[in-house]
Amino acid sequence: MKIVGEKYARSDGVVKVRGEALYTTDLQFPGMLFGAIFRSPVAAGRILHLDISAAENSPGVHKIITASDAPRHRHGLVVDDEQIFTSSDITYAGEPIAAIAATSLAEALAALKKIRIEIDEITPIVDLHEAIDPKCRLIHQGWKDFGAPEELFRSNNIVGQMVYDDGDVDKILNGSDFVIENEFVAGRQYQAYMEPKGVVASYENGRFTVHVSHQFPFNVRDRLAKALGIKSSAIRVVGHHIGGGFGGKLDLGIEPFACVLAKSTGRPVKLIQSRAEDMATCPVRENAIIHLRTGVNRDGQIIATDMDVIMDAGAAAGDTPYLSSIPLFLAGAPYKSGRTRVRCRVVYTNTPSTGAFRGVSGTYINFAVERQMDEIAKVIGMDRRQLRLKNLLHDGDCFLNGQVLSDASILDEAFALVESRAPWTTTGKGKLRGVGIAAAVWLTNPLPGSATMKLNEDGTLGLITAATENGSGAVAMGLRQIAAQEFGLEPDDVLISMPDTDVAGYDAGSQGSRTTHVVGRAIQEASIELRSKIISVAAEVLEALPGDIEIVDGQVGVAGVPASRIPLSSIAIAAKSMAGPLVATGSYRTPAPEYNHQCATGLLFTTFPTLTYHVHLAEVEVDPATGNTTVLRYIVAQEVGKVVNPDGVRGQIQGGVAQGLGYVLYENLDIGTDGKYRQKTLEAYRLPIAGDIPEVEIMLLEHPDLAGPHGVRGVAEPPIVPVAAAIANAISDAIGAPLNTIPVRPIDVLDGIRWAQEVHPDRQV
Amino acid sequence: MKEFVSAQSIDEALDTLSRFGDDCLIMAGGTDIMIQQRTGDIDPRRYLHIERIESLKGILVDEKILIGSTTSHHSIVSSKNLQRLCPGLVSASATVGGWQTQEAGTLGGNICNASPAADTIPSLLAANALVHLKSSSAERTVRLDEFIVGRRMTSRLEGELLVAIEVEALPANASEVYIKVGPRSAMEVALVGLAVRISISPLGIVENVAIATCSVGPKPFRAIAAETAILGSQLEDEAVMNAVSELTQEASPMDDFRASARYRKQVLGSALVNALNICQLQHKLREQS
Ligand SMILES: Cc1cc2nc3c(=O)[nH]c(=O)nc-3n(C[C@H](O)[C@H](O)[C@H](O)COP(=O)(O)OP(=O)(O)OC[C@H]3O[C@@H](n4cnc5c(N)ncnc54)[C@H](O)[C@@H]3O)c2cc1C
Repeated sequence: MKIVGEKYARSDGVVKVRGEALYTTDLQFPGMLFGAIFRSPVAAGRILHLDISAAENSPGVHKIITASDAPRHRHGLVVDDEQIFTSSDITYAGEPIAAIAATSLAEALAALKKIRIEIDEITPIVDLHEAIDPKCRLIHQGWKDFGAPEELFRSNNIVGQMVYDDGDVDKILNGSDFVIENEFVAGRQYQAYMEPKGVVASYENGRFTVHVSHQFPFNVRDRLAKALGIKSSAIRVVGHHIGGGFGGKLDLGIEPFACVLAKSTGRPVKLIQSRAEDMATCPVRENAIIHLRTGVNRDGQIIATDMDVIMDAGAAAGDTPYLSSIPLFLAGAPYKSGRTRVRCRVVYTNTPSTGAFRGVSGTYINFAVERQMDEIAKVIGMDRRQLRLKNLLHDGDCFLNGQVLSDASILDEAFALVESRAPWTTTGKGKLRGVGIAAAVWLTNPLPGSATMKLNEDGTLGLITAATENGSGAVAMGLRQIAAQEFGLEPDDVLISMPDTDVAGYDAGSQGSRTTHVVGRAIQEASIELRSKIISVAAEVLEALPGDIEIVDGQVGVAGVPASRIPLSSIAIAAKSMAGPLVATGSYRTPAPEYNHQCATGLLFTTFPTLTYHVHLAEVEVDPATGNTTVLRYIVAQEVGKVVNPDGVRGQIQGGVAQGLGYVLYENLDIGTDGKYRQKTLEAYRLPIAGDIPEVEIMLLEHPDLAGPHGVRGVAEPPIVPVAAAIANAISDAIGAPLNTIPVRPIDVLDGIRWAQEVHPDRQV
Repeated sequence: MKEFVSAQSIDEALDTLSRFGDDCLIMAGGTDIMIQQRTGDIDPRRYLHIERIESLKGILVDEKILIGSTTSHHSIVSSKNLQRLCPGLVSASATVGGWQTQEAGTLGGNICNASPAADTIPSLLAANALVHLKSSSAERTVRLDEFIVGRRMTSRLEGELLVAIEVEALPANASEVYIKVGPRSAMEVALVGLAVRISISPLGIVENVAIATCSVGPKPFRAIAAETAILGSQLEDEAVMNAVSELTQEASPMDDFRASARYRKQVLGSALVNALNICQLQHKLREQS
């Protein structure tokens, strides 16, 4: 029976469509209280006076906690720069100051309004160039005392710096036929998942139980342990259905507040963020500035590259110090960069902290690299596609860290596939129409996962894992089908538990397209063991040699004797009175590729394992009256290794393109001079809607990855990576002017049209 | 707890209004109100629900056109009569949010909410709309441009109910359009809204013109100076450019996170040029047939 590669409905589809799936917000426990967080109304300053007395006497209030009721030490994912509550310095608008537990949410919110605070406000630092200046006021006075990895460079407001330098880059730039220099700017993007963050925590017998809809329950456990200063075994994290995450639910969020409230009231406490609160405090995709100088020879060969990136961490580092490594990989791929220097600095500002979002940092670095390719082509008078093909990486070429890309020539195939669908020389022609192309190389996150499998007494398969189904189908389709395939069962006969850190082995969460690849492989490892256990029981039951036993379509029998087959259920039942229940466990972590450890300083994210290759093409039309862009056509050629479920793969690519289209055309969290976002609701923050997104034309390449289950590589994260570049390139082509800012606003398009007319008055627009 | 009265007749509604006056908030489709309540902009003690009153719904075409105040945008969009006699309003109603909003939202609600971005108001202004108001003791008819007095402000008196909107039918030799500018294909707040109703003589001379806008000032308005600039013209470039300059001068758009004032002004001018082009094209097609 062939299950991997077929369209099977996802296991959580029906309950989600019917509204029966329980999310964290749906949970109810006896005696449960409702929490609310009192957050700083301003972005920078010092608390002079906090008065909670009126709020404490407000109806329904059980407890109000402040810094003096909670652990005060600093904690963090990479840098220990966060604290549960601040009692003096305020570093961003929304910084938690107190939390309330009350009998109802309405009472908690009413009490919140009665908290009085006096703040000595100062002007927030929101500008990246200002923040990075050594003379700038410090965002964190005590930064030197924060715990941090030794290899992380920090100085004043800089909280991470990656430097790579081949040497003599300036010399080669100066000697090249052309030097193309541009600055690219990208704004912040909100993950805008459907379910705002929430948690229900209780405290009993010295242990916390924490219910979440989270992408990475084990990280909640470990980060909570650090934040609360307790052992991780004193915390049990239970996962529920997740209303989307896109990276925004990978790090610790509001869980500590629910825990401290639960412990101090002795009751379960539910804390659910409003959309506005979620938007104002979510670790969104960071804004950044990319400065790029490229030296090119007359024949189009790139001989030198100098890239300088500044990323905005906001007021806490979160995982952004890791992301400072991403430019190293993207500066030198998918195109050879010649003699190269890359510097990336991460800086603190008085703004909400930024963090992981699908395609972490890659979206805008790829935008800079691919926009630059178009600008190079224009300057040297070469076809844009030709320039790309000339500089493309091939089998055996390396990333700048020395890691070998053994199969990079897949990029050539991807370019050719796109060409077969939309010939370059005839696509995007016509008044105010344009075509853009962009390519990318991306990784599959290698972090570890595990699976425990048991053969149930009714012949179904139980699968226990802490892998999370964040909507992508990686668990509800991918893992289920991979497990079913191992035993020839129907996917419906595979029952997967919700993540629970007390029950399942460690799993690194749904990030970087890792679940199907890594946990799928763990399932295969467990299956080897489970199969051998089944076979030894079956050999006894069937009175045959273990070597003669086969497992076919959910049955066990003697090879070549179909009549001998008996259902798996009878083996599970028999096992109970023989060797004992049939349970097996497997673990996997992608081995790290070899790389040059001396290649750079501050490299926290060292390799790009299990590569995927991507070429995107966009065709657009621009309205000269409004500056609005319509994406007429969007084509994706993507290397996926092996399709496990065609619907799942298409859904992820269509969705990634939609999210990238929103990023480049509509979405932006503008930061005001007050350090707050100007967009405070989803009414103001414009997400693309169905009518804005074309049906993506998807062409898949399937070169199996030898380590992946059935050859699977990661699929879900990367389709967002080249979208901003492809669309911006298409718009620039349509109007004849460079567009180097994300998002490309209608006013930028109108200004571009005017600029192009001034520069080329003969050009018809 | 809030009190919720769902009136079955106009009299019942007027009676409730006379008793509670401004202590009672009228609710039609509720698509504006529900959001305002959620954000805390309003906190009424009492709701008077008027959506079930049959006599407030419907489109009457006689010598004049009367549209009941709780007629939904969807009913307007699907009305054969209005498609013919008031196509500008029809296309404006078709841009209000998405299908759900058009099903629940009403014309009267769009007017009384008096948002600077209310999509139907420019087309109504261009059709010289009048609003019919009733209270338990009196009735009056007011010009729409006098009814809308400012950003989210009307001259509705305490106890009054908007019962119907009266519009002039599009004359036989006339064309009209509504142009809404926003980046998304639907569910968009107008960054600029512009309605044009224009009558062109067989010789190509503008005999009558109405130009009205939304989202470019605290309230939607008729752009009289721009109208004057093209009245009597043959829509030659110079006249159109004068109208554009008058219109953009009169506009005082906001600079906000949605769009800059500079963008809105620039696009307003282009929208007028486009609208006039479309009307002229319609005129030519009519002449040919
Ligand atoms: C998702 C969404 C998208 C939207 N998109 C648009 C859009 O694109 N363009 C746009 O213009 N609007 C838009 N709106 C706003 C709204 O849908 C419209 O303004 C709609 O026409 C309001 O009608 P309603 O019946 O729902 O008004 P309600 O919310 O019931 O009432 C609005 C106001 O009018 C008053 N009122 C209503 N009827 C009467 C009456 N008969 N007499 C006196 N006072 C009355 C109410 O007291 C209230 O103050 C959108 C709303 C939503 C939720």
